[in-house]
Amino acid sequence: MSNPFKKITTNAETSKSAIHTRGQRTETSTSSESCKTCGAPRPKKTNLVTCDYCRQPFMAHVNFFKEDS
Amino acid sequence: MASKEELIQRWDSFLQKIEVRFNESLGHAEEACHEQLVATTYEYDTVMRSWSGMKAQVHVLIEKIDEVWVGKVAPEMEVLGDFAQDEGNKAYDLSHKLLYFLEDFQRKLEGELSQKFYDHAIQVANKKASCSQCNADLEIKKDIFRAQYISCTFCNTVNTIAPETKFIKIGWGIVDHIAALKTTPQYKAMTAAEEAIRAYRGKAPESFWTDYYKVYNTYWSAYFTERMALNTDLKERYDSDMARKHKEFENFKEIQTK
Repeated sequence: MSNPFKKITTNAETSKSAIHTRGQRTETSTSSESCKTCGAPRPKKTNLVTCDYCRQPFMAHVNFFKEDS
Repeated sequence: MASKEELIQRWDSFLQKIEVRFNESLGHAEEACHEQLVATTYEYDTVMRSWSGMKAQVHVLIEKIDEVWVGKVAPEMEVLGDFAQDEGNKAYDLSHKLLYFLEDFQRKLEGELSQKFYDHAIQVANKKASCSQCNADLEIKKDIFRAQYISCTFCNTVNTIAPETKFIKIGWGIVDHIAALKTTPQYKAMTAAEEAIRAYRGKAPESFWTDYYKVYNTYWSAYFTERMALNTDLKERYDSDMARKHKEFENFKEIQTK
């Protein structure tokens, strides 16, 4: 006997909004940023929010952010 | 015209059929959700939309109990005597039993689907990532679900790793459902203590509140600890989360005892 909820699962799949797939990343990317003003890289063990050399901001809305390792 | 015994027997048989159908429906729902999660290559949101539809149908089934009681059974029984009240209680009891069961079922289903999603999406962290400057291997952290800032041990470059969306999604609700599933025994102890208080309708003895606060704290502490184990960003929030829960408890107590 087929599952009586099959119609519901089919509907959920066919009626899904594009909002679910918009901007989705299917690959992991790696990059390194350098300061847009002075070109300096982000040194290890520093506050990642601002450039350690010229204090230009790298991030908005946070005061302090340290690297994850 | 049917006798009292015949009516009661027919009514009992109807309630039994509803319960059987309810259990069958949940079995089908569980199977359909798990199958769909794999078939859609782990589109958790799509599965949850399906579950909403299934749940709506299960609610219609539960509502049928009252519908049939009010529309058909009660008028027939009332003609034959004053036993209708007791039979009506059966409708109330079964509806509540099924609603509570449905709530538990959803908690379990969300937890199991989330665990399945987690096991799939966490594999992203096992894929190779390399330093953007010197190409040395980088290790993606398995307990941080946002962009990660990892320093290369060879050239000291701070790399920004933007993981796949599925991996990021683990941090949005998935860890919560897994933590909820893992702390089910504590949750049940908490809801039982809460039910005991509600049964007194605002007149529960103080010892009930002391017992409730104890299991309430145990549950939320266990829940937040489980979440932290999966998502280290949540460690910073533990104290404020517990303080918020303490405040919610105080508000609940005030409302109940006022």
